[in-house]
Amino acid sequence: MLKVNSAKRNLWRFNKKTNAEHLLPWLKSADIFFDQCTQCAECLIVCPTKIIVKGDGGYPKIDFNLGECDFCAKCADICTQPIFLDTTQPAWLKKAQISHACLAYENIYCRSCAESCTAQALTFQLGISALPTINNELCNGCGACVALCPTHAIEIKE
Amino acid sequence: MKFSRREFMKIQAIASASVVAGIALPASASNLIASRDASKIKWDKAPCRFCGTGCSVLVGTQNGKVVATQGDPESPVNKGLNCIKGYFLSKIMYGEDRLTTPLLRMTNGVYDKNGDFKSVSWDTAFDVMADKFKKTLRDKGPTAVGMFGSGQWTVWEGYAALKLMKAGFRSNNLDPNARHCMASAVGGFMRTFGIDEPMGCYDDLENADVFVLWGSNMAEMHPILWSRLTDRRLSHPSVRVHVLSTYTHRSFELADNGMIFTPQSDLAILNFIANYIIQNNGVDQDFVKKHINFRKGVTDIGYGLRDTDPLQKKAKNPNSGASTPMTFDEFKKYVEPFDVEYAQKMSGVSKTKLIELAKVYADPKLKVTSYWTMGFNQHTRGVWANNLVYNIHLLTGKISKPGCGPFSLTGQPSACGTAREVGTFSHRLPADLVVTNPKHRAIAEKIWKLPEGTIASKAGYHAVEQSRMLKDGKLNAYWVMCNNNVQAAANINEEVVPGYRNPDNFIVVSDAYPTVTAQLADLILPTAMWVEKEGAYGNAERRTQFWYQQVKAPKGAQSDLWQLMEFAKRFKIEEVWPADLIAKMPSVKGKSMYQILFENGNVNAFDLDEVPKDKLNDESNYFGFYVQKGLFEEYATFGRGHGHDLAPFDNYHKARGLRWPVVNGKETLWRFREGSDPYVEKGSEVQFYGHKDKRAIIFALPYEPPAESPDEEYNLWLCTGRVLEHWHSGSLTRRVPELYKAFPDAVVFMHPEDAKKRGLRRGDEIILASRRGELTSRIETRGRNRPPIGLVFMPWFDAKQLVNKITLDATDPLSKQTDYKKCAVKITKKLS
Repeated sequence: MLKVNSAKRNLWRFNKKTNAEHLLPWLKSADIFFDQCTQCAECLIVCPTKIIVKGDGGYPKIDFNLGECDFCAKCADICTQPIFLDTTQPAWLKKAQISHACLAYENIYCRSCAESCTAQALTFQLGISALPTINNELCNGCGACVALCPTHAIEIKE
Repeated sequence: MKFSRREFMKIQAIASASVVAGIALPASASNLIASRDASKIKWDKAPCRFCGTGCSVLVGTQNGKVVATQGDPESPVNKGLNCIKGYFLSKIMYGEDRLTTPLLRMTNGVYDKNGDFKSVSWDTAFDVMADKFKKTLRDKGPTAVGMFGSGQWTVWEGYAALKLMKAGFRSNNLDPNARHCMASAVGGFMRTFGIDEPMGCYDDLENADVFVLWGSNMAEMHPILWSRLTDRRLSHPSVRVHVLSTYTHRSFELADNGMIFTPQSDLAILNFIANYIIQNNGVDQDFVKKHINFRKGVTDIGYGLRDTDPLQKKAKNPNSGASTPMTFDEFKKYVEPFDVEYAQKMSGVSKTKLIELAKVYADPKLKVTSYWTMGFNQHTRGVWANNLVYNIHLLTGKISKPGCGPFSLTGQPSACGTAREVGTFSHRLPADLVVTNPKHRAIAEKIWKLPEGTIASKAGYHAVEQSRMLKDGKLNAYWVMCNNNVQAAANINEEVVPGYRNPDNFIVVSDAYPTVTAQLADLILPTAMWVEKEGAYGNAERRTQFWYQQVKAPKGAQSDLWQLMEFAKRFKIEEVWPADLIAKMPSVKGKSMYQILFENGNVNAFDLDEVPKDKLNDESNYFGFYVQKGLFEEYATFGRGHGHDLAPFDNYHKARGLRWPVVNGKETLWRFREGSDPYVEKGSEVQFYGHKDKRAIIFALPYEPPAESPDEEYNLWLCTGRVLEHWHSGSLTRRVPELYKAFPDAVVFMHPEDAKKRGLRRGDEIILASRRGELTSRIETRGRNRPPIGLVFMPWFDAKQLVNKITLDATDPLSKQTDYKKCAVKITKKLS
């Protein structure tokens, strides 16, 4: 029987779900965004931290490996389509999540992400091996901690 | 890099698949191999190649390559822990631009200082090099030949270099990069105790009640020791941590008493503490009476600049370390003006905090360990600062016992083991001997089986002097090995680069990678590193650690040891020694320098069959005897029976290091203390046997201002240093993708108010300028370092942003160590 490699097959299909992790802030919903974004790329130009890039299918997405979101709302302001919420509300529900790829779990003193968090949501519990913790109340999902991690252990997701 | 089409497609497919599966790409970020491969990995121990902590790591090799490293659980130093640099050790050897062939500057096939680097054979490289060294010796004599070595050399590499330079070439112009790193600590130990290196050990970390960090950001620079200190603090709630620095850094997170002081005012604070101890009955009278002498040091000693420098001319007693005896009462009077008001005025630290600090030293019940690194050592009064911290430990008797003592942490893996103990300084010989002492020279000449008068009696050029002499054309044949001095030495525009490019000079650089220094050389020699050779390092707590060669170096690269020994073959002794010296020992006639130095019956005493059958040893196989063992055993004769005893060679391959003096197989944890140190006579309790009368010296020394301070135009202090992720000049760590990602480029840490004043925002491009040069960088107002208003901090690991164009080459006049922590700069926004 022919074995189907679904991952490979999906590569050529546009899959909205896989992209939902990298959506822009203040979007009304993923569906509205994918339906109404014209891919004009204006938001890429106005973003001061240059973290909005062209993603799959030409839709703008955020790449935290390039930097952090400083919630200036310029992407929402420049957009002519009715896809953004009122930007006085929280930008999203995304939070930083640290996986066990984090070196601290292997008794490695790294802490490269330690002082990146302006919201002070990311802290290290001091000890013989200091482990990171994220305070979800404080985390705003800005992504400042992502790029620094040498093992790609931090993700920003809902 | 070249790819075939097929390989390219394959990589594309892998990349696509990983995107689909949601895996972030460089999965290389793990240095560990899947478990099914683990059985094929061979594991062996080695000390880490980076800082002076001396962690032991287990090195995993497979198919002739290092594939993994992990913290060694059997190591008493790191107890299985590892820092991020140590975790990625396996990757430092495999940078894409690893050098594998000698490169000589040539035009039309012949050497030309203005030519381009061309690949040549080792034979040609050594031919040209020997030619230049011989010509220099003929024309100008031994003082025009020199070498700049390393605290990253293995013990035997440093020892071979010492023999080659001081006995072979008869030049004392040998100095290590450790001069920039801990020369002030050496100066302090020698002056106060008459013997080098800390009396205590890392076991103090589990025994102290109070830790005081004087100019040390242990949390980043010695992370494993910091982990141990943190554990002590958290598991014993009564333990306290005091941290002093000129800016807030990561170590402050654990500080019960954090103090930000004005640069240079540490001298005032130290004297205030001495005064406070005396005023508040903190003096251990019995201890002081039995074990201490008091002396008053000469002042106004200048700033170690060129003699022609106006600042140097102004000094009354330039470079003087002289002192005169004084009594305890005179000392008491001397420190009286250093009251808390004075200390507060000078340092800007509140009286409450200063008194809280002074109290821990004065309280006889508290066990206090003081740590410092570059804050004290890179200081125009570095030796003084070291002397002054000993003062407060000696006044209170808080020394040489568990949890008590002053401890200088080192920055390089073998700053102690090689630079200090072997004595690769311009004035030193092994085991604290010095070239200026005729008895010491005689000892060395006897051990080395050389005629009397071989070793020159005048100290050679120290590191900073070497750069100056290269520029002035007095030092012409120069070998730089295992360091990156063009990125390290201060004020390179004025004092370093001109010397390298001086047409009269021939500069050789041995390195594994094309560093900034290598690129300025005339000849580059590709070098083996770390576990590509058998080695030994000595860490900050006197622990000597060995490792076996575990992989072969890339074809074409040779170890420093091989280079030093092989180069010696190029010289007939008649070409380096004068006839009258040869006449004193006719048996040397007609021999090569190699035969005299290394086939002397000591170095070649051990046969090849002593090398374990299952171990690699490229140098021994090449030279035909167990090179490392012979060198080590000859070297160890200097110190055995003289307070510097090293164990027999073979013991170190078995142990996780041993702390010298090792007497009757037993290591020494706390020196100078009866019961712990075998050199202390029964019934005497404590003996500071470095000095003839077995007493340590308390020095009366004042505050003196720094060489350069901010003014109206250059209105900021600049402090330079390191970050956790990168080690020194970054020539290794910046080639590891994960470490590069974690801290890609150097930034200038600045207070937000200072940034605002200059119209700057975080991330803005700026020009950082001093009277000596300028560079472009970016501003960081957040992050791990938070300078106060008026000071900026910049790390020096970034070859694209050479902060040593900015720094001042003012040095401690006694230790000749540069002050990299204080100079005046200005910062302006870069206009695009």
